[in-house]
Amino acid sequence: MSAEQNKALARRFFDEVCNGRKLDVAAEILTANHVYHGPLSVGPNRVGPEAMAQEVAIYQHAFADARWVVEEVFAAGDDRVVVRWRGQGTHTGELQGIPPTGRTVDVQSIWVCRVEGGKIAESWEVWDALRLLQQLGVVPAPEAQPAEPPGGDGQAALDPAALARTVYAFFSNNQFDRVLELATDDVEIAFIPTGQFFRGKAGFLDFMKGFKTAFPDIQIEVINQVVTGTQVVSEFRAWGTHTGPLRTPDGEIPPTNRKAEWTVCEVWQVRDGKLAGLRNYQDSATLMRQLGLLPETA
Amino acid sequence: MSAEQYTALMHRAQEHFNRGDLEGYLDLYADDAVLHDFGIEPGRESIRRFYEVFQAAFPDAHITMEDLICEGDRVAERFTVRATHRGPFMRVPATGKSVTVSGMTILRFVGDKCVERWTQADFLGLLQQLGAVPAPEQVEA
Repeated sequence: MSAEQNKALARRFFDEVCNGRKLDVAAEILTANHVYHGPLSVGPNRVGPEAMAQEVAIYQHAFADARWVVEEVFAAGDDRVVVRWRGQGTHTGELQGIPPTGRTVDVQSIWVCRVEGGKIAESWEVWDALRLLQQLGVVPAPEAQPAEPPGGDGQAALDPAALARTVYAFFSNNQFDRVLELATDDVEIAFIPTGQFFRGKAGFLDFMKGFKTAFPDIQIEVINQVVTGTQVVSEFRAWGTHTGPLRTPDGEIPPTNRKAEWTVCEVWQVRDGKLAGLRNYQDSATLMRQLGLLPETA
Repeated sequence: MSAEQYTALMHRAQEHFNRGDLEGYLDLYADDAVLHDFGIEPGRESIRRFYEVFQAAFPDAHITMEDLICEGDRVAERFTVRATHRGPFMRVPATGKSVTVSGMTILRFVGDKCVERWTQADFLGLLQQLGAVPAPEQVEA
């Protein structure tokens, strides 16, 4: 195969299996007896596409909004591909005995593949598993005070900042039921740009689905948080493609098929470890300009 | 430069490193080279200080080149380091233990000098072997 084909093969693994959540596609990319040599610290070699897919699934489960970002791919000769990538996400599910911490992680990796007969037959990877454990607070970070170990029973209430990050990750991954588990029955949402209110879990679901209908691929990344014992303010970046009707009090805006990225600020009240109320302030003017519904500023 | 020339350059740098000849090894880098992932400042002097600490901790460090992949101005290497822990490293005092650490590195060259480098090494495995972090229950020998 050509270098271009080999690079496309490796990219497909990240686009479809990792980010696209299509685990079955691993068998189209890896040979039946593919051997994965990971870092020794992370365990024995994985043999076959299913074992690789399971490995990916572990991180998809533990990080609801897991993203695999390919930073560089190059190919050499007729059989080698090198991929430098980073993995990002919010720790929302158990990871090898570590209960969810709501912490965000960002770790890097280099993966070297050997291609044979149009598929990856063998691969070697070293990724920063130590950094991951440090970011989860399981292993002390360099130059830092020893981290508080996460609760041992998996039921410990998250602090307000971790609660918000966890909810945003589940929202990004369309896990509305998981979001609702983390809200009180009388949760109240104030959407400041339009003056709308949404009450109770049904109202909260309606609020979330409004955005997911208009932007089915919407993702959220937290930029900053300010936290007290019972409140948290989160600034985040939201981005997505406007392919569905966007509801407003003045009627629906039909899909423009444009990509948009805008900033949002939410102020949350937290009660008994759950979201009890939030006020959502967002840069609707930038959003509307990107959708072509407001003139560009000079 | 050709893939053959980069291969020769990498072998020469590694020979210097394995002999403990830090000056010879540092010849690989441009003055303003950037090493990502080690948490150090840009520049060859900063790289020197990093390797001085490393060599003090692991004076007999020996790198084995497992695979070398050259394309354009990029060189990727899969390597294994074998060493004895004789001095403090990553806040772990000398243990006298022998360690084996696998790694990956990508170098970007301008001419015959490395200007930028990305590295992943199994530092978790290193700390496990030093006994500073518990090892997983099941590790393949």
